[in-house]
Amino acid sequence: MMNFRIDTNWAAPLACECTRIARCETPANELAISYSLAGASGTYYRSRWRCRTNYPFLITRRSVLLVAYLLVAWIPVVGDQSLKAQGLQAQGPQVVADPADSKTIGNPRQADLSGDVPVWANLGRQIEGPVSVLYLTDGDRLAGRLMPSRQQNVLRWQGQAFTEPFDFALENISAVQFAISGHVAQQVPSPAVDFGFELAGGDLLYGNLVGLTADKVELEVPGLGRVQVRRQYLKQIVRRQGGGELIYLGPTQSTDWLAVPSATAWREDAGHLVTSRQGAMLRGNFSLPARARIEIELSWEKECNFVLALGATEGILETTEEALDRAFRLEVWEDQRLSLRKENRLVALKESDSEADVAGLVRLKRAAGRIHLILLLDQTEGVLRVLSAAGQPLGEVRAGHEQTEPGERLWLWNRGGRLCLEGIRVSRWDGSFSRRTSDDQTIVERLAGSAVMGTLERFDVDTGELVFGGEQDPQRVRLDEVAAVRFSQVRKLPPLTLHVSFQDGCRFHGELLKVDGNRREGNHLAAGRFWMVSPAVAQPLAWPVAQLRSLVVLPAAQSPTGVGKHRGFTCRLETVGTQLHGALVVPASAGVAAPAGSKNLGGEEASIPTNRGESAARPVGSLADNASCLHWQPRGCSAASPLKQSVAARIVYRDPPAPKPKARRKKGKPRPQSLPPGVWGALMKALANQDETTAHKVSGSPMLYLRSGDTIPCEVTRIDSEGIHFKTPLSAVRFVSHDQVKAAVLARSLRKIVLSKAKRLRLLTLPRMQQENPPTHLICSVTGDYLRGRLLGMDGQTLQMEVRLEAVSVPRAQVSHIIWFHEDELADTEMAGTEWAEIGQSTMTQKLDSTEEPKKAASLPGPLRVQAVRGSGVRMTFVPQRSVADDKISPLLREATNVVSAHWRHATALMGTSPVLGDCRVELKNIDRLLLGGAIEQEAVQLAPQGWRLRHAQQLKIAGAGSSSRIPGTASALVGRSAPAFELELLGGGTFRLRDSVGKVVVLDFWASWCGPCMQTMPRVKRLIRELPGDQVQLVAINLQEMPDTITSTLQRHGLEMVVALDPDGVVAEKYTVTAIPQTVVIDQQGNVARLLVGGGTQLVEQLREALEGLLGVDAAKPGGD
Amino acid sequence: MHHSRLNSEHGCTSKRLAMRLAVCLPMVCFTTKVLAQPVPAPLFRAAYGEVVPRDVREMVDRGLQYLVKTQNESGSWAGGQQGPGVTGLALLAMLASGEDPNFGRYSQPIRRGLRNIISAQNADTGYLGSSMYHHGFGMLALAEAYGAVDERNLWPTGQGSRQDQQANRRSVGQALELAVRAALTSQKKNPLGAWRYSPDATDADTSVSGAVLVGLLAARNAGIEVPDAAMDRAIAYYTSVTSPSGQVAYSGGMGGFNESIARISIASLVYSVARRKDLPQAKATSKYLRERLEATPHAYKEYTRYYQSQALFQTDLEAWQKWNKRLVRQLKKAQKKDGSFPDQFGGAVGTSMTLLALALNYRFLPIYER
Repeated sequence: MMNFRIDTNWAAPLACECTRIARCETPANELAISYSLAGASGTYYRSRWRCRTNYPFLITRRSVLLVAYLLVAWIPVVGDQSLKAQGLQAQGPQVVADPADSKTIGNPRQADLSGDVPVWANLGRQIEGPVSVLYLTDGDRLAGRLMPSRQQNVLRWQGQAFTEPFDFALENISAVQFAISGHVAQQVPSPAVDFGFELAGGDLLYGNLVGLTADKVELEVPGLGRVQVRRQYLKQIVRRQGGGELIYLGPTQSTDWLAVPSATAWREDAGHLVTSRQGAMLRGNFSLPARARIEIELSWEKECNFVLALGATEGILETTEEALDRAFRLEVWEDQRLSLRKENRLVALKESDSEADVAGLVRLKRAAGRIHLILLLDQTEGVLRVLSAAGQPLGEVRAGHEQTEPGERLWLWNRGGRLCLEGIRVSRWDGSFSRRTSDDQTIVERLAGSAVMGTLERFDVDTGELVFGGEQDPQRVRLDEVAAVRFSQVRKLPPLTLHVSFQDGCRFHGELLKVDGNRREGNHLAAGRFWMVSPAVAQPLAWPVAQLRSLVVLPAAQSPTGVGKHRGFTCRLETVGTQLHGALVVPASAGVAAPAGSKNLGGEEASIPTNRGESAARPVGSLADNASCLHWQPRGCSAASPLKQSVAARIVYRDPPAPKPKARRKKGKPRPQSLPPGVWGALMKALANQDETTAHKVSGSPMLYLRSGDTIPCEVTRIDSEGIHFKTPLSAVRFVSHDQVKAAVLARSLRKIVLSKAKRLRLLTLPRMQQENPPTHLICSVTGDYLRGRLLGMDGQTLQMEVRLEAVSVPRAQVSHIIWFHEDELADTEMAGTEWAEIGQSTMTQKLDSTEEPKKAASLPGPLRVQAVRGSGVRMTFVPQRSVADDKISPLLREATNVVSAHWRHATALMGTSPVLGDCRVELKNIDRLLLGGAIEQEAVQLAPQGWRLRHAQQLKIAGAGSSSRIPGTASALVGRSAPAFELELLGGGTFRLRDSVGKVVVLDFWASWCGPCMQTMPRVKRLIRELPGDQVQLVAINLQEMPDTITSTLQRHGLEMVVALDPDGVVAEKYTVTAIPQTVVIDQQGNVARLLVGGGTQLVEQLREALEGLLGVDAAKPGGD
Repeated sequence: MHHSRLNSEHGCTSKRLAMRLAVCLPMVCFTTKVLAQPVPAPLFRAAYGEVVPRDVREMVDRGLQYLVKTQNESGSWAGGQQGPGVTGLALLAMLASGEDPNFGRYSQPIRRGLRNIISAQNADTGYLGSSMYHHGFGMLALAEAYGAVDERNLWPTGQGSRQDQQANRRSVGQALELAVRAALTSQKKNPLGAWRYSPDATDADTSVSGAVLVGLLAARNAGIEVPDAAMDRAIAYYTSVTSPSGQVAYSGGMGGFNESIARISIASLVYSVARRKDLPQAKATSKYLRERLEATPHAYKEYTRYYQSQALFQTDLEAWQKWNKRLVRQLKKAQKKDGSFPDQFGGAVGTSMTLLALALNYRFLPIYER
């Protein structure tokens, strides 16, 4: 039994006992223990904890749950009734009782924690280098960059997908995370800066003191120049080499970190470190001081499951996990009471052999989220305090009695999902929250340790001294002796809008004045300086935009109603780094009832609010070159911008219905947190229902699936050598060529077809023999039989195929569907993972951030292509020419949905041209999604029919050949062994005995006069050996089974003088496993086979040279002049 | 009989030519003898299938245009391997096209090529060129041209004045007979009864021997006397390298155990052309090929196709038809813009061999007679 303490209240921790409920043995002879901790504030349990004990007991998941439930029931019995009566749960330690409350805790962006919207999405994948992301209060985000704007409390933001910027009111913005480009100097603040100036509200400026009077303090801040701080807001001045030294600010480069298990486990992304790998770990290359302040920002996708270990040791005997187990840790635990709400709890804990302490911190939704915490670690006292970003205490754990050496390492361990380390700041901490000073006195701490207290009057610039006004004589302290100056009676900052942190470690609260521009970038002025005002400083501060790290709009300044429930702005634009609610709109003057054929933006002058420049009026026709005809207006913005022609995005009108969970899987599916690796994990996996087969559901209605993803309901009338003739109600077009088609469904299957993975693999594997004549089609009969071959044609009655060069005729009524194999698919051997089972189904759950890169998308020039996706699965690709708004709707409805502003109307339809179906009009109300540009290919590769691609059978590898990593000629079993002894008669008399040649390198060349390559190679081998220094190599040409006369005449004809040994019966050849000649065997000085080379030519000579030089220890054995 | 034909050097009225013209109905050069011996129409359809598809005709035309364009003034082809063998293969491709070798668009290139081959011949030994490969293919070209090309204007008067040049101005028939004699002499000296690169070689391989033997068989079909014993001896060499499975070794003894469709095709072809389809080895090779119609050679693709087409055509017309469909499909993709099918030996060799593989669709060359 171990003693635990659980913090039920910040002030009064309640000690309680741990009930060990289960454990199981792991191969490492350790015990993974699940235990539950119960206290008034809640019941926590961890699924796994390692320690060495000797109890044999097997855990099952059910037993864990059972005991956990028992524990919940047990609390009222053993818990302190009086404490419970006081309502400790309500005042419990920052455990958020109501999801709504969580928005007020800590960083304002913690709102994400309880939100349902995925906040992460594609933050990671970049198109154009590092990208900054703007987060809106409603969970939307927009990758792009900050633009100059003169409006106060408005951010002008240029989205990556758009040609024009948008103005967002600060009240609608949650935060901005700025990309950190690699070239920004990371060793900031600069070494020239001596002091950190801490202001009220936690603001921090790095600079040098240049003046101090009774009401102002003047600093020289790099990048900002002279800054006059109002003295009543100055909290303290701390020498950087003293108490407040910054140790690390990042993550900026992956070289600052050690990634485990491999360097590729984590990748750099816009100044963040990201992993999707379970078990990936990061260790900071910096050293944590015994007392450290760590500020960390983490975000995740789907579900958060990480371990942050502070103060881990690096013992030789310990494994990393053991070291981590002994460190102070933050972990994500399942909490029984929260699990029904799909929430987990972040806990802080500390364990040692004899004791453990745990404190609940915050709840985390099982969804994408983000957290920003301040950790105050004091290893000398054995305490870890966790604070929210706003400084509100969340919990603390104590190591208690056991004194251990302070550890220096910080580890971050991803235990599942995708985790992103957005920011971390490690600095020394003096161990105190704030030193109390007397009412009106300032304390100056000297580097030597002594302190001066009094009324600080001024800073004497000439002498470099701080002057204290005493009653009698003023005291002076030289500034270069000062470690810290602590002021009293610091005023609180009034509520402000922004909290901005900078790449040099500075942070600042204030109001946004404007963003000015400094240089032109294309059509736009790039943002140069970010102007802020704060009561704490006397003048506006102009921060360089390049120095911005993050910007957070404080909750008080955010709109209480969010962006607002604008009707009609329900569709969602999604692209890399962007998720933006809004609507496709049409300029009011152009879109309504525009006559067919006229472009709606045909150069007319209109007074339309866009954000370029400061003028409201601009010619609408003068769009940027890369502007498409689709305009997007974000929710809460008064202006719209054209989407770029090159955009790869999708617009979601209706989300697909959630896929129904498979009943069989649901039973056995373990929760991610609770599935331990090792034996337990293997057991769970084995018990889980692994569906090895693919159900083969085919839509009954005839369809044509194109390679572009287009899905057209149609009736195929015939197929000829050119392509497919069909009839569709959608269009008058009747023909599509073979190269555009992926699959055609002709008829309903008679029964559900079950296709095993093995059979599918077999169907899609191209035998080596057919490499040059690959089948081009696969047909599936209505009964589930498959036939692979070349479709020659099809009419109303029969389908003709060529199967392995034989003509075959199949009654058309028997054919359910046909799949096309294309040659370019074969080149790409990777098979998409989708199953045929999904063919004809409309549920598409593809993601834009899938691993499949659109290969063609990026390189496709020309106008923007759009694919409309309907709920029925019908898809059509077209090039939109204009979007139109319908004014034939009731005035009431128009009020609500159609008229967006005086200048923009909701688009109701898109008109364009489909490469297959010709001119088309797509009513937006009928579609589920619009895919734009490269997103078409991205999604197309994931569609079920597209996964049916042939792939080459594995190529046979010839032993010893082609493998560049291996040394040539070492594949034979003979190599390394003692060379088989032999004795052969020589041509022209005498005997060759191998044993006589020990101490020399012997080269045996097996040959015959009829072997052309032998005769070509032999003189070259002879020349090579003659070139080697000394007389250390002996060449013996062993002739196979030829008459001496033949050999002599051959040698004479070739002008060769060789030592030829005669192997009339092929006995020696057999000993040396000669199956083809020329074969060259190199025997080293010790009589062992060093190489066995088969074949001739230049390659052999080079390989032989390398082998011989290696054996002789020759570096450049070539004789002079060569 | 053979002698009488040998003496009629301008043999455009020979039986062979008549038959060729009968096969090639569109040809303009009709003679009374042709009309006297028409091939019955139903038999024609049954034996020779349908008309040559347009895409094949276009492909062959483009290929031949390439050959015409790239032929040197001297009648040879450069830019790769060159010699009588290369010239011979290109000539064969032109002869196989069905165009009249005496009046059509290839008549001049054919005559230039013939002059080039004959000029290269050693007047004493009859040896054509630098290896027995060249000798074999050159001899085949002479054999196929013999009787088809009107030789009256082969050597224009006044061209060249040197005596040796004049001495080399022999007729196609004379050159062919001389070449046959050279091949037979080489075989006689060879202990294996076959051929290798050098005419004096004492070893042999399937590939060189194939080139020479097919040339000899064509010459015999053309009426040149080739002793049966010599043919039997060469065929015996082939049976000795053919395994019961149908695989054919490269050379006697060691080496060449891997599957080679080219070698198997050569063996199968020589058995057929030598009228020895009754041999078990002939059956084995034919079966082997029939069962591997889809096989893809990893090297010497054009060379393999050249023999595979003829071997399949000779042994199993139905199999050839299937294989040919695939061939046409593949070649359509492989043909370059200039009409060539280059291989590692150069544009002329690759294109000629590929066109000859396609030529079975036309079947104008006597060597294709079944």
